[in-house]
Amino acid sequence: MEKELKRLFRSYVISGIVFLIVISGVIISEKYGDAVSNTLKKLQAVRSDIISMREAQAGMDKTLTYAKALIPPDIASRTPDERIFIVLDDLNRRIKDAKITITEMEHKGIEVTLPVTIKAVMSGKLIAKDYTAFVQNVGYLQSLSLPFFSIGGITMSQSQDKTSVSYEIKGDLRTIKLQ
Amino acid sequence: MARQIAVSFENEIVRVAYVSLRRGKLVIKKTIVFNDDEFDDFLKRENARRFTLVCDFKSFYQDTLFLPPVKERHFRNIVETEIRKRFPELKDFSFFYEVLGERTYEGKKGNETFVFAVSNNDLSSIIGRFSKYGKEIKGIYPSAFTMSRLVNVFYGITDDAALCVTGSKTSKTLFVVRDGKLYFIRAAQSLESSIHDSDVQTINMTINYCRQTLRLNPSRVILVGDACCKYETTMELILPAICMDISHKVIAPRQTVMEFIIPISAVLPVKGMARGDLLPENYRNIYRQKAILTYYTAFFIFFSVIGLFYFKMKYSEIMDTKRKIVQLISEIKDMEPIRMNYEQKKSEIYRLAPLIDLVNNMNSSPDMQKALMELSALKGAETRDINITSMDVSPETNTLRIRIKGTIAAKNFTHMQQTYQYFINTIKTRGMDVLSDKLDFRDYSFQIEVKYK
Repeated sequence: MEKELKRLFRSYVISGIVFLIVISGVIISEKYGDAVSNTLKKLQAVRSDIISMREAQAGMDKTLTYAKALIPPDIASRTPDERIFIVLDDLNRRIKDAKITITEMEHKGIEVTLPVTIKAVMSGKLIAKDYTAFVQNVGYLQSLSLPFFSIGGITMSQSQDKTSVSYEIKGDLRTIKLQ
Repeated sequence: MARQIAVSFENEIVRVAYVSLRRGKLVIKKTIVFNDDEFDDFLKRENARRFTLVCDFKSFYQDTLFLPPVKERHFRNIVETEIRKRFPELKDFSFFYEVLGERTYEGKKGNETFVFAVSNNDLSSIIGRFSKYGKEIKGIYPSAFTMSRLVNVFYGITDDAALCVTGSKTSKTLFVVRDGKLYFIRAAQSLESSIHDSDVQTINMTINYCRQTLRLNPSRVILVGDACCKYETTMELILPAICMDISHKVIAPRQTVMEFIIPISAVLPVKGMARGDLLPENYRNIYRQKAILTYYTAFFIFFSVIGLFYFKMKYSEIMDTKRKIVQLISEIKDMEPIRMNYEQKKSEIYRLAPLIDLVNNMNSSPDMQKALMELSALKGAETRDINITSMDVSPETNTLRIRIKGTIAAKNFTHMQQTYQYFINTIKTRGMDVLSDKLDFRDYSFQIEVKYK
């Protein structure tokens, strides 16, 4: 009986070891399988991202085309300050009867700003014509690009004797330093 | 009940009965009788592994003890201790006991207890015959005990004592049963298994012994098995004798039932049979360990096989996933130019981002030129009496706030009100929202705040 018990015990130990090996194999394969699945998912996400990149490129091209169209041809040859002064001189020529005052040029990071005040008077019988010119000048100011003219406010007031209307346009000439 | 094999050792004879239970009755499928020396060959040939044994022990110890009344779980230990005291030559033994009843002895209450013990050496030699051939013993019972249970089943538990007699070729076993309990066992030599004059003498002497010494008064004699089959005597028993007949509970020829009554008495489903099992504790432990090892080994093998199948399946899955990964990596490598192109454009956009922000910022402001044109259209024929003295246009988030101040050259209040109202309506029709308006009746002046989008 003891022999049989020893034989049984040997079978028990061997089968136990085999069982432990198999269970370990199952656990390891399970974890490895999970890791491999996660890798597959991540790679699928990468491929999906690249496809999204391809689809986004049309929009990026459009944006770049638009942005590059805004860049003046002399961006490399002139400094931001220079370009602001060129526009200022142009303004002076265009709005002859106006008094254009400026303050200090401000440099905030890559943005360059010059506060500008334009004052003029529309008087007499030419008020209507002057008003038309004034509106056209406001349109011109709005159309400026690098530098832009940011209108802070427009004030118009009639003189006491109602013969003239003075106006004041406050704003900033703004541009940026492009690398 | 599955098939069981009961074996009874009746001195030189070994009886084997293959039985099973069907609808409450025992079915004897096969019976064999061997001489003792032929039995080993039978064990070698027989495929079955488990047997129930009934033995006529040649050497046994029995007594009736008076023990203190204690809890059931301690009583067995006390019985064992008493047996060791009473029979010091018994070192290693197995026993059973029957509590016959409460009695008062010398003013003390106690339990009168019948004990029966057999040396484990004797038991081991019997068990060893089986384990040599890889067989296991389910239980090993003294024949007197199993027969006493039969008496209870077939004749009821009564206050009347009965003297039972079973026989083999060279000995007779006599035992007294009362109240369903065993009171006394005696083994006596005899010439044959049947009843002869010498046996009648032995029975009569035993009856007298019971009456005089044991204070038991058997009312009848129950003859069992071979003792019942052959009755060749000239002497008379001092008590009426009957044959134990259990053939109505067993599906087999009557003769077979009578002949094999001892082995089948151990496998009949009778209450209390387990109390008489003399299988030594160490063998029970060995069988238990074997059973545990067998079950665990089977468990390990079964789940290892399942684990291997699962592992194979998982392996295929993993290899499949790895193939997909290799394919994907190749695809991603081919898509590298797209990614690089994207990165290039992204960095260019980042470079131009401040310009784009500035443009967006500028474009978010409402068109002042258009607002001024709308304002110039406010003056018309109907509003010629309106004199705008000042206008203040200031940008806010996505809108323009316009403050208009002026006077109305009206003839009277009605005219003033009408002109003013018309002016307000005109402002609204030009796409502007009037935020507030104030008309001063004293000086015909007004102040209107307008929002233009």
